[in-house]
Amino acid sequence: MKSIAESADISASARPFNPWPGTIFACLSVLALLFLAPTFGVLMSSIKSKREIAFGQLWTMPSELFLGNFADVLSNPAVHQYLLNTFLVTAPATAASITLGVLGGYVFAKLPFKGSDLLFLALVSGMFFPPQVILIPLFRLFNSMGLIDTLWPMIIVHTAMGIPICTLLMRNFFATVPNPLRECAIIEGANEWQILVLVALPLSLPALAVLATLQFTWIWNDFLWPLIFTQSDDKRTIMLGLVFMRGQYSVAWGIQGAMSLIASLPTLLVFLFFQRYFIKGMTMGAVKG
Amino acid sequence: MSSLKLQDVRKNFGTQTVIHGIDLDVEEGEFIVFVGPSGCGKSTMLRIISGLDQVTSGRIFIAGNDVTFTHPSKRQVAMVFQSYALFPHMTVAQNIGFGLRLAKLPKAEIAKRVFAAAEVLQIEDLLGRYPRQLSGGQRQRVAIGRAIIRNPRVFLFDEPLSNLDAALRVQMRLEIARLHNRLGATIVYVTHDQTEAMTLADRIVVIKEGEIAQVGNPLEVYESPANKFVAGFIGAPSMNFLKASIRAEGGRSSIQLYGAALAYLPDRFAREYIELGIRPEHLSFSESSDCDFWGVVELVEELGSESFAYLQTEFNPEPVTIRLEPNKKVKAGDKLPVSIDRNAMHVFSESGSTVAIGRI
Ligand SMILES: Nc1ncnc2c1ncn2[C@@H]1O[C@H](COP(=O)(O)OP(=O)(O)O)[C@@H](O)[C@H]1O
Ligand SMILES: [Mg+2]
Repeated sequence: MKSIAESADISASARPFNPWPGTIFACLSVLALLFLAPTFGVLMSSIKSKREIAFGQLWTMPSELFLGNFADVLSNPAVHQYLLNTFLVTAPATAASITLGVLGGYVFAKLPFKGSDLLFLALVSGMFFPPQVILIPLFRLFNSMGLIDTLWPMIIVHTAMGIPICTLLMRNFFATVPNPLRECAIIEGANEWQILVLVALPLSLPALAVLATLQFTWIWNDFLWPLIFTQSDDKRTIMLGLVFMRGQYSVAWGIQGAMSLIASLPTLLVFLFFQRYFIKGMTMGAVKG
Repeated sequence: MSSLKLQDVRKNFGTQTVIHGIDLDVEEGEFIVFVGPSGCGKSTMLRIISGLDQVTSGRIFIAGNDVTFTHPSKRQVAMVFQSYALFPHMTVAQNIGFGLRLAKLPKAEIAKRVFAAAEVLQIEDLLGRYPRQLSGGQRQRVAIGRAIIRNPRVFLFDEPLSNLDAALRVQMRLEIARLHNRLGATIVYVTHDQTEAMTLADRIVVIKEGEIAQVGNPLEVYESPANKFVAGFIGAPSMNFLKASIRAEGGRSSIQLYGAALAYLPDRFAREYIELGIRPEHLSFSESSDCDFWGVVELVEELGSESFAYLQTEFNPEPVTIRLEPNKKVKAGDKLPVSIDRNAMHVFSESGSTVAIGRI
């Protein structure tokens, strides 16, 4: 009896100081700051004039708000071309990879056949393939097809590389759509396509939003494939443009900063647009149990 | 013409045989209840009738047409699932009208029929709501509405009440019975709950491990169970089973319960051991010590309208259930004499089949 009373006493009155929450919070804060610092640097340099950058440091606050860099970038026809190219690659590749992921995922989740699990594993293992391994074969392939220095290789490669993650996510999502829903729809007269479009997809908007955001961001920001597959300036995407700008303007930090910000704007917009579904999608498994 | 006919229906899943040859004729407008313990193949039967699963062998006829290989949507059946299977992203009206929409009926026609179906189920006010905004009973009604709107030849219900709480279950049971009277539809209803089966069915089909154990109207099944399984499954609390032996005496045999001759069997009985089945209401406490056996009250269950006592006996490891006469008061620990109603004894062979019922 006595010992129980004692221990209760201890925990009630003198709760020992626990240093961990504070320590962890501090560590995380520092990490967050480090993470944001480059972005901050870019933002600062983008609103400074060339002169100010030449004189001062990159990290200080500007003496006055200078929007000339943005004006320069936005009025540059090459940048327009870069943005257009990037969009022409990103939009169709995002749409195509998600469409294929939806179709494949539905089959794997709801219409399994002999060996489909194995096929699914094989497909998903494609995610762990480093792109460098297939770089040269792909280059030679597209070269022989005469597609080098067009946007096609990027569209095709991004679609293909997106299939594993899209199929994985959609399959797992469709698997949470209860079977009786599908069976009820069948009895009501729906064919498989109608079940997908009228039942499964409307229930999968969160997954679609997550995929759209991921794929769009990933493809938009890609640097490797455009570097391999394009040669002329008017086929470049914005991420390549960003790098090649440096050559043109030597140390045009301000212009570069402005362009970086403009280049990341579309992904930010896509994220904001889908963001509420995105959060819902991430926590959905937890809620559904 | 029968509304639904099953002819030697069998179903295997891989090497496991789940349905072992079922024959059944369902009349137009009949309310058939499949009842049996969990895993006996009830849902599988419904899925086979609906066409969601294919038979391994055998034939299925609906309204005289062989539908064994017909697509589910062409069989003119409607199914109400245990989980209701409402489409979460559609309103009640859209859920009920889903089949008509697929059939490409004009919007006005769909709206009219959806409203009519909703009126039958008294859910007109809920048409604009989403399933997540409905209570369990309301969801159940929507699921039924989606089934009745297409005027199917056969309704299939798979344990439709098992997700509801007890009070609501009784209410919905009544409503389903009413709906059946009103629509005169053929219904195949699956449940593991024998009370539901007894209250709803025109005919009960008792299933055991994928085989029909007995078909009959509720009273037949209750009073003349074809075997020990049916006898034990139908009725709550269940029938008591007492081990007894047979002794040949001269030209006849007597049933011996714990050393006392209970009854005589007309013919010489070529068995040594039997099991006696006696329902709790066919046992009573005797006034005198002239009785069939003694039991010690272990537990009394007062249900209000009736009461049961569980007795420990010297010859049966399981407690014996007895229904108390009204106003009869007993308490745990009482040792009381019990007599058996000779007219309501069931005699089962060791293999469980019924040998004799009633006065023996
Ligand atoms: N798709 C299936 N594959 C393999 N076995 C199944 C399948 N569906 C049902 N079974 C088996 O068939 C038996 C009967 O199942 P079911 O018809 O669902 O029983 P009930 O509805 O009577 O509880 C069970 O043993 C179950 O494991
Ligand atoms: Mg079942």
